[in-house]
Amino acid sequence: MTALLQLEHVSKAFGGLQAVSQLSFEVRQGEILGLIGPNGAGKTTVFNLITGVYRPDQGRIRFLGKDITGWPLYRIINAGIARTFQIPKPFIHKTIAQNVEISLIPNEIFTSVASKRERRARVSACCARTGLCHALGHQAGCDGEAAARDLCDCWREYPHILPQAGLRKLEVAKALATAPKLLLLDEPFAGLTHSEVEELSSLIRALRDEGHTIVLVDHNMRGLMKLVERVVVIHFGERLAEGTPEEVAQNPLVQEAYLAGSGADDASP
Amino acid sequence: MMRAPRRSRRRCVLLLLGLMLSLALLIAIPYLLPHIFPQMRTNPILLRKWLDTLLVANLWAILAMSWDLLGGYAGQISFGHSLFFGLGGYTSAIMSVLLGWHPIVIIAMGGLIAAVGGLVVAAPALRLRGPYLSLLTLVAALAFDRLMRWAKFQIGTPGAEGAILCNPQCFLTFNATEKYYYALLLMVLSALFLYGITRSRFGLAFEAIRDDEEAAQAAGLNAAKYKALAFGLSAFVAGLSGAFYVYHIGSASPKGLLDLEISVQAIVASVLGGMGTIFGPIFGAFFFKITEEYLRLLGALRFVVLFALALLVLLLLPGGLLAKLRATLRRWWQAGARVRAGVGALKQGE
Repeated sequence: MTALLQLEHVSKAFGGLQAVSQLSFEVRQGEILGLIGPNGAGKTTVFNLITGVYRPDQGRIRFLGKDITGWPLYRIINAGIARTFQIPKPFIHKTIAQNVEISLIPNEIFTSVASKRERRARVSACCARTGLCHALGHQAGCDGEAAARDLCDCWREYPHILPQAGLRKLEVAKALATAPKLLLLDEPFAGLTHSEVEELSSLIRALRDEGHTIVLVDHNMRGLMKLVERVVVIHFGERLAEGTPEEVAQNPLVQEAYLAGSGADDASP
Repeated sequence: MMRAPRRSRRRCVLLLLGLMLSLALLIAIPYLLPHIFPQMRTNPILLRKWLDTLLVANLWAILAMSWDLLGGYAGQISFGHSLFFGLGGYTSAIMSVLLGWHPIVIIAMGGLIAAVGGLVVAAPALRLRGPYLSLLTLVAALAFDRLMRWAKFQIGTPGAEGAILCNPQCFLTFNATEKYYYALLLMVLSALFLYGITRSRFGLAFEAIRDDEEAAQAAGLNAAKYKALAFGLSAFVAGLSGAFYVYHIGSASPKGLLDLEISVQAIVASVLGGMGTIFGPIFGAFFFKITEEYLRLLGALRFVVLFALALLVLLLLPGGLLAKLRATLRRWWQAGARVRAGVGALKQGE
């Protein structure tokens, strides 16, 4: 498998706090990689470094062989990396469908724009793909049983009607609409019920099967173990271990640092 | 199944109906005024005064709408819109004297030069947010005001402190009614242009950036580029308004074009009418200008009363007059629907 994304000795400090230090790892084409570590280990900072929200103090980041270090966020997104946020950031004044449509807006001011119908079809496809809105098309009503919350009419309803799981799906739909090669999901399972985790997991697996490469961040190993194929564990901004979920779970360093010695059973699949 | 589109269509129809009625009123007003105020029939100066007031209200509406695009949609609160108004105005004064082109060309040039000014202001403004951005636009407007006062123009008939009297070069017509219609036409075209922008992908991008810039960037939007575009488009329309204003008053001066009060009035009109609606600021501007004219007998005190009134509206109706009106109308409509449904049920029961 070829490397899609490479981090080479990336460091970032905030004042006196070394959030990430000399971190190197790679994401391979077509895999689901879990980036795990206890709270405050620097996982979200790594996402912010990859997507250009922060600029690394040292090190390089390569995507598809291109050096993207220091690129602004929007340029990295357009190069083919999409991300979701730990706390969903919907555009609350726009309908659910328009939230997704925003990801389709080109940056060129004078350009041939896809027709309204094409754009709507793509929005609907992204919404439907994530199970955000069920039978789409803006003629779908929102009355009666169809109003089972996240099956609502995306073209008419606003994000505030969505439950937590719906907001996370909306984040994924927005990310998918940018046509990414690499999808970075920041704690997608936080605060979800067991069945919602199952549903989102199968969506992530399906997206991988369609050719997307996915990186997940989570501090809860258990939920990730069945989903991910490879794990990178970070601790205090450094890489602690790397390997299959089983290998990592057996790693004494990981057990000591991350699971504080008591979580071997917690980490096992 | 068909409920959703029908409801939104009904709202569209209501909005369209309201706007058409307002437009019809604005078209008919020069003929209605002498009927409403019989004293105007014997006193043409009074009629002319009111037509001029309405003409200026049209121009203020354009300015307020242009502010709304930048402030209400793109979320870039400018306190220095008089800068763009003045750029358009000075362009039309200078070009009408030096080049003597057709007024349409010169007013368009006023818009274009103001748009360039908008892009120049946008360059540093992109790095700033919130109150710092507002302060920058304010200082830019003040700096331009001082620059014009310092510049001793030897164009047209130079006036005091940077004024250019461009009469007779910048002149449209003696006929007040005709001039009013020109201003109304410019206002309607500006409204359609700005409304079109807000309904396009640009408007969607502006609103995304206003609501959450990081999320907008994560959707792949180049926020800096779109903000600059908002500045340019807003300044263009504000410049058109200023350029026309010079054709109305026959001079360009720091006092007439660059007074900070013009910026403040544009903001107040916009907020009164409802930010982020484009059409709302038209109502705000007319309300402001007509009330100002009515209070003229109070002399200098009228501005105190006017701004106190504006403060009151801001406190009581923070969403703006139009939003309040819309909510009230909707309530009436729904009450009417309930009554009709009740009557229908009674009839069925019989």
